[in-house]
Amino acid sequence: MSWLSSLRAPVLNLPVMEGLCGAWRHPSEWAWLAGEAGLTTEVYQQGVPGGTAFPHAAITTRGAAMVRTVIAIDGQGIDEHLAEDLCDSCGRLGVLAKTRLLGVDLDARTGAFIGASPRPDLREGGEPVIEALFSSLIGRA
Amino acid sequence: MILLLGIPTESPLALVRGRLDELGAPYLLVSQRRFEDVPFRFQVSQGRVTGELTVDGKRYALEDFTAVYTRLMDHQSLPEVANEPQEAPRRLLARDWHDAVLRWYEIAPIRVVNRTAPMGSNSSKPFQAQAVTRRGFFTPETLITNDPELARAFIAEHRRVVFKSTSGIRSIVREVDEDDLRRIDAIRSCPVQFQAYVEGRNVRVHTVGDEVFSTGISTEATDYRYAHRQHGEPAVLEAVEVSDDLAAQCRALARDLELPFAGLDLKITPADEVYCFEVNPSPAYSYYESHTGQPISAALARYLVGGASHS
Repeated sequence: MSWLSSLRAPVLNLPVMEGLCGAWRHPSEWAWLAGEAGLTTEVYQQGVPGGTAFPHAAITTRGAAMVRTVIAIDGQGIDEHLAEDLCDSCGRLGVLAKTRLLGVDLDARTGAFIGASPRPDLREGGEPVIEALFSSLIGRA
Repeated sequence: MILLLGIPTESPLALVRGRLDELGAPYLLVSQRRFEDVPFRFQVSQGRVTGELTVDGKRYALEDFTAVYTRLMDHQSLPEVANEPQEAPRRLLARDWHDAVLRWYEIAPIRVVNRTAPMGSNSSKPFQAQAVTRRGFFTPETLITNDPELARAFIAEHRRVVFKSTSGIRSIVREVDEDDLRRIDAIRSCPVQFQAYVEGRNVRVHTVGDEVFSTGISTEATDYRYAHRQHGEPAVLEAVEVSDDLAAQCRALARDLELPFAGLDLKITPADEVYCFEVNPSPAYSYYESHTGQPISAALARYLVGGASHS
């Protein structure tokens, strides 16, 4: 972790204590950040007694077709076919999460937030994501 | 209202409680040993964090707390569960209660001393050292290795060398001696952090928000925390003043690490170079306060009370 942090070259993502490729946050934290970013979220509940409830978990268990992944790089959500406000919110989530490269999972039908990952499958984003990554790593607009 | 969490009789928590009493500040002290009879629940909805906890039949809305001071110990070591089997209901309940409490204060929009995530920088000394140097502090020449040959070469180069753990697990800092050289091959099993010995005076700086308390520590021991064991006499502590620039540097480093309360272990050389060995994210400040009278607990209480005006 300290070695990666010491590199002068750009690193996406820089390691933190919560993960070598960026922070793997708790669902409660993602739910909070997503709401702050303007994404619609279902209610997250946790406690004793009662346990934990986060309905979004059920969406992922019904199959990948229910989930749309938006890649956010340096505060910009990249998805040519997604509404601009949703793209903006995904980008904002990356900024709030202090994670330059972030995969944001949305409910494909409703656009509601499901989860996020600092190690997204980049194939989801296609050429636009490759171009944005190139710009971020090389440092040119 | 301020929420205090931990073991009520533990000195750091007890001192702050006393200071809050002096201020007449409202607080609720919850012993973590009461995990079985203090229902706790929070929820997150569209970015808003709400919830409640119930103590002795009285419900408290979590949104009414303006600050938290947490001194939670590892719940697995609580007397109530320490001897329970791993999957025992009581042990699982303790785990779930502590997880819920911790998850809540990680995201609650209030002052928390200290949140768990920022404390993580202390888990890797070389990682934290990079933040230290970015703030202009010196750090000793350092080698982290499990290669005995590299270690021997480093020791030969620097004449006096200490060794310590690389992680946040506490170790007793010791100077490498002949016995250690004879068993140096043992490091193949686990990397060890070697550092060139730094001459100078130990200074412990506690930062509480914008307040700074500096304590000079005099001892011949390598690790003043174990002075009696290493040198036969306890360390002598006294309040000292540091320059405004150094105080500002310490405050800035604590802010960089997102630690409202931090304990910085410094050494000031005869040439006035300031080395920083570690930033402790959960300082047991009571040791310093009890030896010097420095009102660190009062500063903590003021910081917690100040959360009301920022919520």
